[in-house]
Amino acid sequence: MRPRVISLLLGGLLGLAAQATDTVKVVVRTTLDGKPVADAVVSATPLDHAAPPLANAGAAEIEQKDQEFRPYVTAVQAGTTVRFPNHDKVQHHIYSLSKPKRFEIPLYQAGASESVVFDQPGIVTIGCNIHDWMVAYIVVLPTPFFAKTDTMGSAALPPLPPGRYRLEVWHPRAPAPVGQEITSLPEQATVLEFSVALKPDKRVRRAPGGKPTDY
Amino acid sequence: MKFLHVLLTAAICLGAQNPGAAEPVLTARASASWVDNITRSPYIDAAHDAALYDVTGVAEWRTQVTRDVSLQFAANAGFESCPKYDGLDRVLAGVRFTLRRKLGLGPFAPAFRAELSYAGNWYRDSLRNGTRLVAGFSWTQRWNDSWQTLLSADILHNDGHAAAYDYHNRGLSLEARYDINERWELAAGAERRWGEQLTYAWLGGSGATFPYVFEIWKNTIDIPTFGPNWNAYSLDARADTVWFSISPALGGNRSLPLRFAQTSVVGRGESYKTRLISLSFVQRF
Repeated sequence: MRPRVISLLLGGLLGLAAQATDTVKVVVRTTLDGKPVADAVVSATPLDHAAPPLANAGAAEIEQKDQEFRPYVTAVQAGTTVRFPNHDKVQHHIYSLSKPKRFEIPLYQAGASESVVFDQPGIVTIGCNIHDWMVAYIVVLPTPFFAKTDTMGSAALPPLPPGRYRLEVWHPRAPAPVGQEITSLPEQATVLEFSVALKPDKRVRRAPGGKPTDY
Repeated sequence: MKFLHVLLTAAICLGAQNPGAAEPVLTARASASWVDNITRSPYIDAAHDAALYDVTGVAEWRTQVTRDVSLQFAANAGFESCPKYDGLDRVLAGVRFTLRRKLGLGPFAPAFRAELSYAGNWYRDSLRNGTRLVAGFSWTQRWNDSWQTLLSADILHNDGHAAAYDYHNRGLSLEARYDINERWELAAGAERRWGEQLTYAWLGGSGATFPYVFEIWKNTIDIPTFGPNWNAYSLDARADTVWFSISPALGGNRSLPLRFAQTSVVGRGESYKTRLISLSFVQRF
């Protein structure tokens, strides 16, 4: 994964018509063919001061729908409660074997919902013990400054107070997160572009099988 | 039929106990197959080929009993047609119970299954009508993101209107699946079955040496399925099947498996092979 600063310009240089802002925008593309990468989590961790604590109770939701987790990738600040509603009419059994949060929740009734607090930063992989192909990722971050790339590979971080930050980009198929140090200045707009070498998308096959005639 | 009644009653009780799990998963399959020796004959001049077309639907209910144990009940019904030998046309319906125990969490935890299935077959050639009971165990293990193996053993009992269609045998099989990626899957397997094998002979020139054959043929009867002078009989034999399939996924809920299988039957001085090529379309709703 190679970060590249496309522009680090004051508002006036970025474009006369543009409003000067203090946001950081990141665009993530594949190294191979330059296609935009969705579901990459971009985070900025303050280096000069402590990250602001979780502003409120914080809540996120990962639903089980059509025997898949939605969304595939969720980013939360440490301390956030994540709800897991079963919107399917079949049973699910959610689990995580990841070090930052080990848990399992049987959601045997349609419409059932349980919540889990994610208090330790790290990557939490969740699965369903009944449907092996179901997988999702929760990126638990020590900072409130994060965003997830959209289908255009683009993510805009919340406004950063001035100071130095460690910017990191994580994706489920990237071998490791990559980052760089940035400095946020007042009235500054920053656009960064990252190229990521993605591993093949290896997931447990979902498509049905079975045998033909027993003649 | 009493047995079937017991199974159905148990299934209804199972569904009533857990209404949240009452929604079945529905799967439909349509297949076109070609069999080179559909007459299962040891004699070359009596080995005839034919195509088979079948459509089957399965409704499967599943309920988690404990963290590691689940029960599944499936009901299936279908129709199979053989235009060349329409006596083989049949309607089939059956039920299947599966007790599954998974040792641990995640896709790499081994899973053990005990399975019992009971199916009825109603053929155009009514001598063949009957039921089939299969009881088996299996162990499924996923080794990594790509490789999965399945080891299984079962006993089969077929009960027909005519004695030749009463046969039972037991089998042991191993299959391996390799997911090249999320779309393409390769699978191969081998199975050995011991016991009685349904076999046919054409007495109009089969080369069978009488009365020798009647010493090794069991439950011989005349059958109209393939024309005049055909016999069906049970043969004590060993049947070895090897198979290979390639299956592209067409999205998450459908696939198009192409399968090739060859079975070699050897027993009591007789032997024959059957080869099957099958293309299926499988849709989960």
